[in-house]
Amino acid sequence: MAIDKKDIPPIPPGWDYNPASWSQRIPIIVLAIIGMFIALYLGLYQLDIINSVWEPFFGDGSITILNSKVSNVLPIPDAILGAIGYFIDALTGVIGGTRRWRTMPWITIVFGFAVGPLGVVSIMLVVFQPVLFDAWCTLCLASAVISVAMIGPAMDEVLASLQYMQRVKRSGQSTWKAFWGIKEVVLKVA
Amino acid sequence: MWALVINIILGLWIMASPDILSFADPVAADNNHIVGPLIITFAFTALWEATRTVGKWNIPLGAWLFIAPWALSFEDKNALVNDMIIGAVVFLLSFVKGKITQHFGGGWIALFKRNPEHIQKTK
Repeated sequence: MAIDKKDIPPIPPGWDYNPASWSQRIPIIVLAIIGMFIALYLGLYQLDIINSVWEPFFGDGSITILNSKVSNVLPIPDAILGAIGYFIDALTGVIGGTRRWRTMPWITIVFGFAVGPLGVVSIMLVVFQPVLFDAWCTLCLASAVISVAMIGPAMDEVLASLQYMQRVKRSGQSTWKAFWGIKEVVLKVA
Repeated sequence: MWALVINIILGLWIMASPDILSFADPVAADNNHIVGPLIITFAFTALWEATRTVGKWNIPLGAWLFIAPWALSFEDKNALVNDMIIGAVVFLLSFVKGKITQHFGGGWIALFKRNPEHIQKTK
């Protein structure tokens, strides 16, 4: 039992590294920020704020994709939604200290849910490009590569939090309190 | 690791091959445009040891590529040969697990175990 949050060992039991350390998280945050800028740029085109878009390989591909029905199915253009998604990834990547897998499981789990489904949506959009519109969009593909690259490195932290929640449950403590990082539970369960 | 890298490249090839080999069959092209990105995603995510098992998800995808020319009755012979060969290779390479050097408290499977490694370590 820890007396203070600072006494919590940063490396989860049975692990040999800390998945919430900054060296683990910073690359993901950087990727999310790059993805956010790419998506913002594409979104500005979709909002007609800029009137051309960079496309080195596929001719009219980007224009076809970015003006397609799928990209405008929701009230806001899909690239803007993507930018919001990346922003949530970056924000939930930054929040919390290096023991957050135990001190605030909710944030690692929100982080995992933000990174995972965003990746899935990106892959869906990549599939739609050739199948529905017979076109490719370079920056859309770049954005998809980024969101897929974030999944692997983000999931270990989610695993550490889920294992912690499992220990809380086994010890008979409140998983609800542990999830939100209520101090008494966080300190009690190793 | 090498098996995953090869699968990533093969996934890229599957995604690009309908255009490079100019498939005459739109069904074959659609199939590859769907399966290719999935193979890349699973193999890429499996590069990290904590999510290594995701690489196994390419076993059914490789098998599907192998039988797809028959199941979807491809008319394009290039597409048929291409998908069967690449499918077989992806299928086989997806069984290669590679070295796992890190410990993850028993991994994802621990969440369903009675007495997983991470609980033993806290006693």
